[in-house]
Amino acid sequence: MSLLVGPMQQHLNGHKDLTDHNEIIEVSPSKQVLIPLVCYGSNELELLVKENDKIKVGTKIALRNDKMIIPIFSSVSGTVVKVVKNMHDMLRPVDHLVVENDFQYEVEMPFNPLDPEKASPEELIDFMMNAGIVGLGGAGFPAYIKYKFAKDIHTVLINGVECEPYITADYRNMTDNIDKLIVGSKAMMKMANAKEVLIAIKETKQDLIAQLESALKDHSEIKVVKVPDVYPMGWERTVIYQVFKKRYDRLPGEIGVVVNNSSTAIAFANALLNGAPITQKMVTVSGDGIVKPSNILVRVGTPVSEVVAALGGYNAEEVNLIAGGPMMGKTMPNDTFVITVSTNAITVLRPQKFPDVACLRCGRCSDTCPAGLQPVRINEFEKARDVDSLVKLSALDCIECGMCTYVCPSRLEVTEGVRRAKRLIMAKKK
Amino acid sequence: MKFISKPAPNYRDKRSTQDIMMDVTLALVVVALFAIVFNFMQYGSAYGIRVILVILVAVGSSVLTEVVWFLLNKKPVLSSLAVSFPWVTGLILALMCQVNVSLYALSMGSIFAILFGKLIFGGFGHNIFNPAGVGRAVVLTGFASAVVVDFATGATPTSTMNAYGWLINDAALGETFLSGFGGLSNLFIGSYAGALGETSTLTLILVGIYLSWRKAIDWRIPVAYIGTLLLLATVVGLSNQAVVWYPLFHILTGGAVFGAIFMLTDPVTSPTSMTGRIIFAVGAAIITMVIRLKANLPEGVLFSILIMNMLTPIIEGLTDGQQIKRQTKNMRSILVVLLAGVLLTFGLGNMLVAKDPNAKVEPEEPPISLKQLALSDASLDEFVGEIVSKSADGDFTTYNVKVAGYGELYATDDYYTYTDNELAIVVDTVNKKLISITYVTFGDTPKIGDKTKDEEYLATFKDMDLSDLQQDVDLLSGATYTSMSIASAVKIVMMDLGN
Ligand code: SF4
Ligand code: SF4
Repeated sequence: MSLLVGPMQQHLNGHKDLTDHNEIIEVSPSKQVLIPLVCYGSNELELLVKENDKIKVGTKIALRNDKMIIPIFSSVSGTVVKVVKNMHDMLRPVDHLVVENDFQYEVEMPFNPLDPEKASPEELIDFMMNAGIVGLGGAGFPAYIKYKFAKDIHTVLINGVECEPYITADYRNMTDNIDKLIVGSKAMMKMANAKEVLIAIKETKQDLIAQLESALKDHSEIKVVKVPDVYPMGWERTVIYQVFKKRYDRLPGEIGVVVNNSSTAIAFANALLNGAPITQKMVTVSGDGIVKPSNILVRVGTPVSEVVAALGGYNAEEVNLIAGGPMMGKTMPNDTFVITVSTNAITVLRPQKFPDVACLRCGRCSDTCPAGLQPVRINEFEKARDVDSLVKLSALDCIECGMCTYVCPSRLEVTEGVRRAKRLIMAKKK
Repeated sequence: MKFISKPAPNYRDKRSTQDIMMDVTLALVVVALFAIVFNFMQYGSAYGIRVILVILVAVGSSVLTEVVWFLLNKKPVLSSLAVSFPWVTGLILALMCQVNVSLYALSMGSIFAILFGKLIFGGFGHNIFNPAGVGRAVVLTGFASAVVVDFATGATPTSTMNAYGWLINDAALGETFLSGFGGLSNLFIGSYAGALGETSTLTLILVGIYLSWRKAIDWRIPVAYIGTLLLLATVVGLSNQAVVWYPLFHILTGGAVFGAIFMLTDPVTSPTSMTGRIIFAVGAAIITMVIRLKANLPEGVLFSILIMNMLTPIIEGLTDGQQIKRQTKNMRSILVVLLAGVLLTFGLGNMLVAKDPNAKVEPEEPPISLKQLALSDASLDEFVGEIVSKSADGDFTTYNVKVAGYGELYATDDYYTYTDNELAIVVDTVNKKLISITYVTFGDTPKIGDKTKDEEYLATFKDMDLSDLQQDVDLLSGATYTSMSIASAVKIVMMDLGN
């Protein structure tokens, strides 16, 4: 907060107590899983198995091999059935590989474990690439690329902020896997040739902070940084500004920082220690529309309908079913989509209705926009279809965090207006 | 099972526009309560009740105007009202008026405010001008004289300051001025005559803090406005060796704080960016100062707000862009505006001439129709007079007549005190002739009565007799108020003679 720029963040009611200390429930898929054949926005994958192949948990089934390398692994053992189109949580139908589950969960190691203490940074980076470690904070960007191009990095920032309301999966993942978190973080530090690791945790998570601090006694190069409980503290730019008081233009590397999500570090450690890729996810299923909000351990490819059923089903006639948290997650038209590698939450909310109120021009949206944009102005010019002004307003810098809609006292769909503006600019650019 | 699809996010802050407007309403009610209590205690229950009436009329007319509008437009009345907030406009308007405002004028103002200030633009959220400001301007310009004389409360500080030429650089005069309003602390607490809600800076600051804390208003606006006003007044004060409290006067009176908290912060009519809001407030302060100093008008605050409302779209355009990257540019824009304001007010301040209203520097004589005035002229009846005493000495009788002069009739500014003109008129009761006419007290101010002081003029009445009353004798070409006052006195005496 300064005189001329708003707070660019705000505390949200997290409803984290719905799930943060509940027992973790294991949800197993029924007879079929549908593994999405899509990596970081691309479905141009090489399929490595064919119909009727017998595969195991960990069998590499597909590979993205273009600008980036991302392998995909099976999450169950059983028989390959076929490729079908199914709704994906990106809100469009994509190819999924249907695998008949034999309920044996026989495991196959697609790669050998690697001792991070002994391995060189290059070996670690290659390992990370072949293990298919992608950013688990939401975007699913292959993690190795950040390290491959890392230069003059002084700090690896492990993002354990988890600022979206309702979601506690990272938190539970950390409390249950502190050792792996440390192993993964240290390996990342080595890969980036950094001097220290900072683990950013919300200051309100005192139990986790205490647990971490005592575990970190022998690791002086790793420190916990407490950050305020505000949204979107988990966004790279926001958390970096909070920790380092610096802003960067395009990538955090410009100021010597690499950021990875805490669950990514844990998954990486799991791969290093056990030779296991990401086949299971800790997912928070929460909200006021589900009978039993919980953190679940679930296999990639499990249909959400099965997840919901395992938790007692919906408790309202009408719900907003959200893939992700309520701020950035997409609202899904049905529950046939599956858990993906980067799913961290399913949120089920009872829809709210509000009376029509005109825009008050209060500027709250502009004051809290973490990207420093002016959503109200973007909306005005979007209505006028004035692309030049939209460009001047840097509408493309919007990260669709949802803050502008959240704070709008007139309950307008401000974020959606900005999305339309972005589409308008993109259409003109072509 | 129904999956309701809608664009993300699916999460909402509890704070609604309705909440915000409720907070503003609450703050206005607190200010209104102060006005009611103050008037009850200071002037008695008639005044207190009158204040309540003023508020009810403004709020009632505003709400009713919208009800009719919604009915005509076939909209659901209650739910439309609930998101249109007409009572806020009504409350603000009422609190900007004085206790003696004509209720008729006020209700016309409210109707205008709602209809032309808001509804024709498309309703709440779409208006360009502050609706209450529009209403107040209507009451001020369209119904300037529509005041109810039964509720006189004395001169307001700003109208008095107007008479001083917006500059006091003589300590003694300053004392006189301040003591008229119970001193600076009294100006701060608010127990002086003025617009209902504008007097108590203390109350206003408290509700302003409440509203800022509730984020119903952006504190930057009142702070930037009052800060700039203080700065500019200090510039004017220093360059003119004004009394030390001169800058404080500018913010304590004339609705500066009220306008800063309730009107400049109206989100609908102010810019949406933080920088925009600051430029908006600084600009308003500059215009307020210019109007006060240059146009010599007490209503600087109101008109500055309306002018800035008009400039809002331009200011918005000035600050558009990525706000983090624009910080330096934005800061520069603010400083440029501020600097321009300082230079402008410095220039204007140097043109100021302090006036001492007690030194009888009078307003110009109002024009009067240049016509032949006859004794039978009906306009003479306005100059009411009475025979104070009559003493007979043989055939001659001396009448002492008191008659209203210019001051009594036309100078409404209550700061000046006027006395009647008193004349001694000697008549020959036998021949029914006027022998002589002389002043006992000359109540009119020198300039206005100049001509009539002349012996020559008084002499025209000599030898006048009763028949002249019917004959429409021309008394004077280009009659002045005082000449009419005297003619009226003569007429009264003649009538008495006739009986
Ligand atoms: S959704 Fe975009 S415009 Fe809205 S607050 Fe987030 S970044 Fe800003
Ligand atoms: S928060 Fe909503 S009401 Fe306020 S300016 Fe933005 S869009 Fe308008």
